[in-house]
Amino acid sequence: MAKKHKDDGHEHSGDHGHDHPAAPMVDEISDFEILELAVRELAIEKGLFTPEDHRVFSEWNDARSPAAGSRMVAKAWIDPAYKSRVFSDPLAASKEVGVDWAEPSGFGTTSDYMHMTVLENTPKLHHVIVCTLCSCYPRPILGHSPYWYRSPNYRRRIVRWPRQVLAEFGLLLPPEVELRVEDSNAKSRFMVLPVRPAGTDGWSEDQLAEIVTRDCMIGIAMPQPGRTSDGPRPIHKASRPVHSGGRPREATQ
Amino acid sequence: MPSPTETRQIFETGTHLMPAIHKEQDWPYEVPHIRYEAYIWPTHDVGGQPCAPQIFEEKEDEEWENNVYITCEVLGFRGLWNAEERRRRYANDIGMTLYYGFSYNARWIWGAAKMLVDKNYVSLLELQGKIAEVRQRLGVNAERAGHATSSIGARPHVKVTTNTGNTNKTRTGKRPDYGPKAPWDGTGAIQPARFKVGDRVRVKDLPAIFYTRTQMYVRNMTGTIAALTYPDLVPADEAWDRYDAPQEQYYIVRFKQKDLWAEYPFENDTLQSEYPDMWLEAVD
Repeated sequence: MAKKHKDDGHEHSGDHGHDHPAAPMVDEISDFEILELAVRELAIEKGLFTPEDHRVFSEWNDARSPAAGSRMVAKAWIDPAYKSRVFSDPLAASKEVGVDWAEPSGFGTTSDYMHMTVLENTPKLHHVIVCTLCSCYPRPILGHSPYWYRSPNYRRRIVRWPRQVLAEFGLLLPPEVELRVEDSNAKSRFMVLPVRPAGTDGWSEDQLAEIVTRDCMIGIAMPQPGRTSDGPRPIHKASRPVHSGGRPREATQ
Repeated sequence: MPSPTETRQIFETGTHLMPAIHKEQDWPYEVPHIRYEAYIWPTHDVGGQPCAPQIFEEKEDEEWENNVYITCEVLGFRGLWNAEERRRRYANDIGMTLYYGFSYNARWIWGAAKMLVDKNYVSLLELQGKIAEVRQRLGVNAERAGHATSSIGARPHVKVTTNTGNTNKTRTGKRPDYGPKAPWDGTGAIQPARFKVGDRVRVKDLPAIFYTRTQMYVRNMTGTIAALTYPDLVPADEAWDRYDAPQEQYYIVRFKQKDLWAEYPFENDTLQSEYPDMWLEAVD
């Protein structure tokens, strides 16, 4: 087995002589990785849960992604009857795009519950979501939250200086638009239904879904024709990543 | 000459320096009230704290971080803890040093390990022994190329797109029958709702001892009931597994931003958050 060069976040910019050459190092196992294995193995040995439970949840987790939310928004833009169901019965509307909030246990997940609310943006009202106390987020329909969403920085500032924070993400709101921050501090989970942008007349559901990115459904961006990925934003690469849903990925174009 | 990487590290280190004169006495004889309130305030409640802008990055999950999430969730749907208890343990009971010193997922698994020991599912000796065993098996800090394998078999992960567009990979396969009820469901009587949409309410300011889901920035503030959501346990009961406690109506309350923050410059902006009945009082 070849030794791996540990990727510790340094730029290895070739041999122009400024950076130190990367010393051959091996991956270190995080103390928390060890703690996770210890907890999991003890729980299984004691019969607190089974490997099958872990597998069931892992499969559910792997299938999460913002794609279901994008589909929900695109459908709501095209079909007024569906749009009214999005507000009157969001769990049923989720099922229509392939997401059953009761999965994978039959009664939902430990963190997400079964109380979804969709927040409708209008030309006069813009929503943005946050959880100032932890990281509540509609995982079943949007996948995992981005790490910046969980960061103390975003949580501290978005409730008090929301327009400044949105501007840092590249979204400037006119003062006459009401900006409504939804601080998700209990069991309701929120998703933003953005305004359908001009220039999309006659588009198919697939075409519309492509411009409804994760950030549009958090409320830090607005959909536009041609805008099919979020950012640009720096990506902190994992040294040993997991390949599954809801994770950031560099745009391919 | 420093490399670009080193220049950035020097710059950031300089930014983070916090000069201080240390004249505090350990275990002071007196703790003034303001300082008491600041010390005991639940660590996770950060909304509105002034803080400089920061670059918002997209961070990828490490595999162990993903495993932490799964393990903590499974402990939940098997009834070992609920999410409110988890947040209390990993976000508050660990104190400010670990809250900011550990990473996001590190806190989750730290909380899980502490829970198993606190509730006597495993003894501390068993946990210590298991950690030592895993370290031995993996050869911690020894040369290795692959990632940590556990003794538990796992099926291959499914690759799915994380971008927008269509996907049919939203369902799970066969699973055991976990029964009709979530282990975190309350069993106590549901109290009648005292408020209706449009009512003006003030958020109470109960002592912030040990845990809260009622943010500091809304306390004593007046808003309007925007929606009735669901009846459920109140966080103070759920966070300590008191499932037979009374269940209360929750409400979405809408505040004017100008009421929450005196200096807020935009007249029309609003903020919403959710509270159970007992945290609200009628405003005449």
